[in-house]
Amino acid sequence: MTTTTSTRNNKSAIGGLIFVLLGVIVVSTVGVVLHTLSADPQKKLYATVSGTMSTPQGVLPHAFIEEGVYPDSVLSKSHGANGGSHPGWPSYGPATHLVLPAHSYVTMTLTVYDSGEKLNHAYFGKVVGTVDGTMTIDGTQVSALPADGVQHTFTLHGLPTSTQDPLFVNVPLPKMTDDQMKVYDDKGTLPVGHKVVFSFITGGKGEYVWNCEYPCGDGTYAKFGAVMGQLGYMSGKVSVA
Amino acid sequence: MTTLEHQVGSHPIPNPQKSLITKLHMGTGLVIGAIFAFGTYYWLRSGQDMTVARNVNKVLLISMFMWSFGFMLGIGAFIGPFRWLIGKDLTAEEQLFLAGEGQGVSRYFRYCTDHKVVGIQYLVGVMAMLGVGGTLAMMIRTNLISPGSKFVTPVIYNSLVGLHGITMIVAMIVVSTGPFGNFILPIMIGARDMAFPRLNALSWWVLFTAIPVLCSAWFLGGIPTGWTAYAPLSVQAGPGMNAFVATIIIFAISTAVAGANITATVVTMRAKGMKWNRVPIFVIGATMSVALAIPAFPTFMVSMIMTALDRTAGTTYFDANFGGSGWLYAHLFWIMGHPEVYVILLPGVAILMEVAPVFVRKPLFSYTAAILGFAGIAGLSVLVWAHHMYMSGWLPMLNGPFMVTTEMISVPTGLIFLVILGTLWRGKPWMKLPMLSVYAFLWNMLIGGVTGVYLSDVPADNYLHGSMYVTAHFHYTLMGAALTGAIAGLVYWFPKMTGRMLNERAGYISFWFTQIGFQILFLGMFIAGAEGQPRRVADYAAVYRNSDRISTMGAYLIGTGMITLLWAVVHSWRKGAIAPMNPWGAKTLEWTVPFPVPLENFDEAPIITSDPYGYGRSEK
Repeated sequence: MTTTTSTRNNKSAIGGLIFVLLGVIVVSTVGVVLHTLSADPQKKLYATVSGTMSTPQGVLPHAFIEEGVYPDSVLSKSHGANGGSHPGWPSYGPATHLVLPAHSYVTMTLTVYDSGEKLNHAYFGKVVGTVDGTMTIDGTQVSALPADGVQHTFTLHGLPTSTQDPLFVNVPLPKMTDDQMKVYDDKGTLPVGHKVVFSFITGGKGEYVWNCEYPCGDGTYAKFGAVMGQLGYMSGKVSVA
Repeated sequence: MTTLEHQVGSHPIPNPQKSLITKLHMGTGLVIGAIFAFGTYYWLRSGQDMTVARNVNKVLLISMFMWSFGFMLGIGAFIGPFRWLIGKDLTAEEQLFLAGEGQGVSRYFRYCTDHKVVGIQYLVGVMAMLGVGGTLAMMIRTNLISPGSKFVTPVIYNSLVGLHGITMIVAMIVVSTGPFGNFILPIMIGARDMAFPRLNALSWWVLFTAIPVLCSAWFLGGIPTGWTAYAPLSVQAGPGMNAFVATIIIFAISTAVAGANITATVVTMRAKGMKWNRVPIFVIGATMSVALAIPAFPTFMVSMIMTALDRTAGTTYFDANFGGSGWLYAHLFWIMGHPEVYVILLPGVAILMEVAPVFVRKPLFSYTAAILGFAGIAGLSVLVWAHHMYMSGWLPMLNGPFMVTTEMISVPTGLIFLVILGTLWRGKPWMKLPMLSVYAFLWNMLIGGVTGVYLSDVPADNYLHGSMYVTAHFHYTLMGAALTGAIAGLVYWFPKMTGRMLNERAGYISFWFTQIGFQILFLGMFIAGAEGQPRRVADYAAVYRNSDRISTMGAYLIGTGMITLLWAVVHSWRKGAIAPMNPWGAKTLEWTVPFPVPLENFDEAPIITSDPYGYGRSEK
């Protein structure tokens, strides 16, 4: 009788352990699925290094990267042939995950094609974090734009952690006027946009995010809906590798 | 005496073969609900420009409500009301069929009016919801295991937080009043059934229809707002938000029906001789809880209807640019939100007050003080909502008065504490699992209560609001106190609900894993919060690394404890030791009926001649 009870208890204990293990496996599987779903959906764009640049930090590799800022994702061609699931959303292109070399002098060229209204906060009209605190617009050097002269911003930042160097860059992008929007390029597919060029210096390896601080979402609530809440259009990542 | 069995005589009731009622069950509900939902979706979308967010919201919301309606139609919920419309009613045979007599396990998948079946349905449903919510909590803590862990993206993290929050809140609201309020409460007061048996079934199945709706949020882009769904964030959120809105509206209907039913049952169906001062304390706590929910939840439903209109019809209730106000949402939400905390807490505490006298073999200390404590909490809980809005900028001159009402609620809470302590005083506790929960409650609620006093204080809240400190505080009250009470109820009434004893060894292992893990998780979170770590944020600064890592380890211990409890329940339900009729030697009425409890509970209506806690003294 005692042996039978003892055997039954042992079976119960083993059954319990197996059940708990199965439970842990189920929860872990949910985690793995979520982690997989969390895979970065953004296409990567790598900077190309060409030559060096003399800076106060010494001679650094000179990296170049080019992006466009489009009024809709059909033109940006970064979300499929027909603009993907949100063809009407403005978008950076051809990619929104930028990969830059560490400890480098990076020159970024943004060709911008969109119109604009007004920034919510004039601070984002200032150029911050670039070499000399300036940028060039179609060859003219400027350090700020008026709040109502902006179409979007490129604002790069990261969490203040002890594990990576701080990096903050804010560049306001000039809006296209209605007249400028009517002048098309040689192919007739895009207006002739503004060319914005600026440079900044990267530190050590790290992960950062960038986003547009101009409210360019849909009509709900100060235009902070839709695209402003979605990675891969007007926001993305910067990996300093 | 008119009962179902008396109406139809003592013969076995044949299935009313020709009745449609016998053909309908959960399966038909699922099929018809799915047809209604997808049919509506494809029909409506064909005439809409689906690139416009408002049209998408409209189509999805209507489809979700049609799912719920279709399911209820398919399971047979509307047969009775339809008969009333044509001047008829269900036959006695059909009513007995609805009561599930002789149908075995299949009655749990039908529109069954037996309160014991509904109680079991709630129990299984709540356990499933807690399982899902708990799994999401494990994901949240895994993401926070170290700064920059990137286990999930910030967008998925936000959805995890929102879905964890609302799933747990829904589950916790019904965790005690659902299973025990339906199964045990009517027997405790000597009733043959609930006052409105069909509404009883309706409340469960309506709640059931909300579960797939909430789950659909995952496939619609998630809920990015947290469980509070503050406007205007909720108005501009993506399609997943529709699932939240529909869930709350459906859930509010369910709780209103359940609340009215339980209240009516207790007020009108108590056994002869059960005066108000002889009503078991769990019944008082559960009734006050559901009675408090009746005025509280409609404001949440209204806020969701307004959110739905802002999202679909172009209204601007919450848009300050057009004369609306985000504060309006905050008020409507918290007028529900703070009473809701006590809707959750009261029945859990009442279970522990029910358990304590049984296991120390002493009368409940000062029954009157217990009632006053409950009444004081319920009364004050509707006057404290704006302490959630101290820092919102809404009428700062009222911060002081709301601080006073909030701090006043410590007084009736203190009474509850004293009642439990007085009951334990000089007792010789029988240290079974339910009794361990009483001690765990005292510890957890003390920490939850004291830390709540700091948050009620305007200057301190200026510093602490929006931080992990708040998260730790309300978990101490909701999980540490209310869920601990509900688990005590599960262990205590498990023999009556299943006919078997819960596996004690597994129960102890679960208890200690859960309680130790709980302290590790949330004490660590208090530290991070006091240092300034914001809640609801996917990443954090390196300075909080140690606190968060400790918290995550605690969470894994809780997870292990909860899975162990689940095993104990499943295993014991199938193979546990057969329970005697009254294993704890308790004096309340539910222990006077055998297992399985007869359809109408009592062969002879009981007559009450004494209070239910007369341990160690002669009957008055």
